[in-house]
Amino acid sequence: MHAMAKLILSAFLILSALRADAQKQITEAELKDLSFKVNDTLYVVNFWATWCKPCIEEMPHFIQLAENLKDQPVRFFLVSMDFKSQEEKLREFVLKKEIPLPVYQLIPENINHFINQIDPDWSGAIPATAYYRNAQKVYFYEGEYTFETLSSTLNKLINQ
Amino acid sequence: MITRIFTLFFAFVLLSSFSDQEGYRIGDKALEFELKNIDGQMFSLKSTAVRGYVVVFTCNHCPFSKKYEDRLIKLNNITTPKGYPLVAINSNDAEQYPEDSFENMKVRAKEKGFNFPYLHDETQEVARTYGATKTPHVFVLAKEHGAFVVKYIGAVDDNTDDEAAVKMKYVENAIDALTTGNLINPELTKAIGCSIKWKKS
Repeated sequence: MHAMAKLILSAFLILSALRADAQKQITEAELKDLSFKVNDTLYVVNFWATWCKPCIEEMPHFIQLAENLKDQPVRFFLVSMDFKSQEEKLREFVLKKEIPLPVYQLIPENINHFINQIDPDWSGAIPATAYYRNAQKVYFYEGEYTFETLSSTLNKLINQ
Repeated sequence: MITRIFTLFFAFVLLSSFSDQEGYRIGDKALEFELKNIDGQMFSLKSTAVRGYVVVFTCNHCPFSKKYEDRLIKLNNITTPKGYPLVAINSNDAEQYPEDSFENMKVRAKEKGFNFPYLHDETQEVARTYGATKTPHVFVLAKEHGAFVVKYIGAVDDNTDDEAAVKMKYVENAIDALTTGNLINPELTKAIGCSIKWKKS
């Protein structure tokens, strides 16, 4: 009985760890730590949300290109702007779609400040994607990508 | 030949400077649009005696717009007596987003009991001219010497998800500043929103 309880407990712990891994809540400062690194890797930060149709439409392109470019110095982060109250919906989405890229949920303290920090030209509409290298923003784009436009953007930036 | 190259060059500079200036900035004179309201009548900014307008680009399908439906009704109750009635505009392409069709605008307005005009920007010209990029996207206009001047651009308030947690009611503050003759601060804000769904040409 005792062993059984232990088994159930460890199963529960493993499951909850898996659940927690589906997405991670981060702050603005943590996002900066992720993307502002002093090295030659290109960090691609895509802002999206589960309810945003064009975001969901372009997501497979990010996944496919991350796979195609896996030997290149490029890393992808999918940063969800879903509401705090939508945390469970986001988790279900990430698990159901089996999204292989790291997914973060960001709930900014001051949304107005956050948007301007990411890029002064960002209106706040999503999808939007920011690119960083050597602790600097190298490019920002507000709008939806096709496979071709994302692919050429990445190739250009990687070979810059 | 050289003159021609120069002419081309200047034409290019001119063109590129035009394309850089997409949409309105604070202080610009706003287009006095005329659009079809959900009651079937044409609504014109000129048509009533007002001090200005709270123009809100919104739509039916966007979760951010939905979050603000009740708040827009309340906001209109506050701003209209001050002379700044609220006008909502849907500019989305209904072909890609059937929920945003003119018929569905009527349905939503009735369900929610909108107390403001809900206009259809079918050609998307008004959204393009104003530089609206997302929903909701607010432009506060004030009448000055017979023209409507852009006084505030941005969000309704600072918390989309939770109305109870709102700290800054940007549009209400702007209207208060206008009615008391104070400076609007901030006059430009941003919020996450759904992109306006442009027609695929």
